[in-house]
Amino acid sequence: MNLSHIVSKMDGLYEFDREPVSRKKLQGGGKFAGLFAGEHVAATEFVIGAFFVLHGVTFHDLVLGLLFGNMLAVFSWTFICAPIAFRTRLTLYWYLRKIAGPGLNFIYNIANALLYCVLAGAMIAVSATAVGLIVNVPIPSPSDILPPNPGWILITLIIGFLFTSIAVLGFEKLSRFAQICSPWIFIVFIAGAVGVLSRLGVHSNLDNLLFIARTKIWNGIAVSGQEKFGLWHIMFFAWFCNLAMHIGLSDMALFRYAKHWIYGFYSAFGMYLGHFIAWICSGVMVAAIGRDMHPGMMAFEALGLAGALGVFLAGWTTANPTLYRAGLALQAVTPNWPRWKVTLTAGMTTTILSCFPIFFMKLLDYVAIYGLILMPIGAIVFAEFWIFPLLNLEQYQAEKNKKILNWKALIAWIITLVICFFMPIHLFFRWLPGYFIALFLYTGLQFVRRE
Amino acid sequence: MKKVFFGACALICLVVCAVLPVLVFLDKIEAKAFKDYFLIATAGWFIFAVVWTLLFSGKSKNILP
Repeated sequence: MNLSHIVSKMDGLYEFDREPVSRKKLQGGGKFAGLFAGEHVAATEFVIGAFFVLHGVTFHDLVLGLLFGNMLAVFSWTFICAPIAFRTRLTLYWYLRKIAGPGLNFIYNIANALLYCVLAGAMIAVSATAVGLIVNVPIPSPSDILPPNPGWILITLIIGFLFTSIAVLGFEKLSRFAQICSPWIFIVFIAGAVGVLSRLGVHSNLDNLLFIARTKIWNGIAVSGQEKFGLWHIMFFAWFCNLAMHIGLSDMALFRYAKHWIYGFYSAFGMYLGHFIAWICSGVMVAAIGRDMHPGMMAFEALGLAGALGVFLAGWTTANPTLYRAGLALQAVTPNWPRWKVTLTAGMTTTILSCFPIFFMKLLDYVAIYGLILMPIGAIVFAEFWIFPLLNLEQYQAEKNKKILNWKALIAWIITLVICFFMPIHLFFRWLPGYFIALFLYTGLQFVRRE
Repeated sequence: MKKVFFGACALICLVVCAVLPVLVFLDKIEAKAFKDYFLIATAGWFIFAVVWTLLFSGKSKNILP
């Protein structure tokens, strides 16, 4: 299989969105609000909010960190991602192709597919905690790296196989089902938290609500083996949680349908419903079960069987589109494979990964690494779109010169990641200096080696 | 008319799901009853919402990815 074959195969897959979106296909704001609200109330929310409690965050740091961090995320969608998508009306795939050539697109696709598989694996593991509870199989502890027992392996394999089979049989129908689940899953978060408030000692007139929040839930004491988090950790986590989507620009696929770039503000529906309210609710639920990282138990103790069902469905409905995206990205390197075969391969990879609790128990670190790896691509596109015209640098050289690979972009990507790897700061903070490094490096390389 | 009926029923079930935890917090119902009612309301939501979606399908177009 040679590179030109891969490139034509890859282009064929994305052919349907090759042309810029026409004016009559533009969508109203309500669609964006619904999409963001649905996508960001997911299975991982059960884990992330609970981990903040385990990491000993104080109530003050949590609220301030989430308010500002989510605001920065919304601003990133609005002022970085949406304006480029609004002006180009293209997906990141086609825009990056103009800038960096199909060769870099290929590498980006592979990286994306693998990262998606790990993410879907974590979602399967979240669902497995609910099933494990019902069939009485112990779930891994936060320090586990390898599968803790044969029962856990069996459950994750069965769930992974089930999710994959259904994704193979009908992605579209499950997407519709996910839309039905979405508002109910949000209610599961709220109901679960409100339902356990009295168990935590909150009076019915709420006079001691803040006291309980500060002393029994976010009391500032990290559990054994967990690093202590403060305001900056929370703020940066909320900001970079979807780094690949906003700063990394993969949500150009969404915003190319926006009537105005200001529609980026609709991302607030996802951030403040999912990454604020849902995270707070899962924190309340984990405190009610004695700070044990067990999403299935959290929801079951709060809501009974419906809660366990909520965790299972949250994992299922969010793993499904992730599997789909991983399959789409992988399809480029699997010549002449039908769609079902690619999805099956992605699903099997995901299922095997889901057996290993490290991806689920180290989800916060994984989310940071995921964003970090893809972030330099966002910086390269940003530089090309905004900075190059200001410096009179020629844009879209890969497209104009019919280059397979823009080496300057690849070098900027790799060097940025190497520098980020050795940065003597916490993992959560590395992406921000890394972004500027990628921006300056790519612009500098282009400036020095201009043709 | 059917669409309105099933949509309204689904919405009512969802509202019940949201109101039940408030009732248990205010000690108006037992925790056990709360979990049972929540499960029933959940079943109602899924049944009515699925039927509503089936009736609604074909009329809505979603071109967003």
